Amino acid sequence: MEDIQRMNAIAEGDQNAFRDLYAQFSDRVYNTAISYLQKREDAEEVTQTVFTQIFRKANTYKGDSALATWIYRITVNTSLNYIKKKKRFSFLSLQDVGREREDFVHPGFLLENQEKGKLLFRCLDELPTKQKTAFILGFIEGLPRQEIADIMGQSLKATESLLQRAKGNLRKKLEKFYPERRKPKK
Amino acid sequence: MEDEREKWISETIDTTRDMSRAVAPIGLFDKIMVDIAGSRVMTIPKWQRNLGAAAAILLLVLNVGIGMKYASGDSKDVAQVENEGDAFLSDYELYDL
Repeated sequence: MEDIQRMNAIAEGDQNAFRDLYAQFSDRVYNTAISYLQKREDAEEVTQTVFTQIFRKANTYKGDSALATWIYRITVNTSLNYIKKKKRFSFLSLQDVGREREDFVHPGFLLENQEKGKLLFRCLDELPTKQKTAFILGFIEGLPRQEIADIMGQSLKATESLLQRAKGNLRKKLEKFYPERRKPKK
Repeated sequence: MEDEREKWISETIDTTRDMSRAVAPIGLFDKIMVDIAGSRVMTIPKWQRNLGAAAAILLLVLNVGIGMKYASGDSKDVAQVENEGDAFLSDYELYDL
């Protein structure tokens, strides 16, 4: 079924079409959200919000971009808005949000890569928003450069440059952790 | 040493190559359908529940305390009505009354 036909069916309340769409995209949405938020509960809430929006705004999809691009765009925006909202209300929280993020291990890492993965995500969290988005879409979601450019609404050249800067900044940030790793265990 | 560090950094960044996607939790679709149907299922974080409970208890204690004080009738802190306009005119003697 064509993307636009699927979305028309969902706009008309076809739950089977929506269920199929969820089966196809839920992991991509959740994986993107958890990479931004670095907390399972928050990623679940964002995924819920994204699919609720998809259902409610299905009639606004006009097929100008691929359906996957449209869904990724909603996911990136919802995740960024969630982070903004959370920062605004963080003074009310009695928990140490920063500490929680430091301990985050993405569930997709191989067991032997978990320590390195933890440090990588800690550094990723400190990157400027655009670099973080490019890195998540490019290296964690594994999307082609052109698709990242379409999602972010910028040129291919600008996207490639962002990815380079993201990697460069991650290298610099990771340098700090190298001596820590070399310390002998007591 | 330098090479070893660079190698370690590259390996750390390359860990994303072997990553698999995180899988959406089971049961999330049902929550979404409930949400769409109108009654959103939300998990309220523990700290928000605690904050809400603390605020409710504080309000209750203050209300009971003030109520008891008022009922005992020995309070000198009870608000009284005063014509503020009169006081102002008299204090500053702006007009002859």
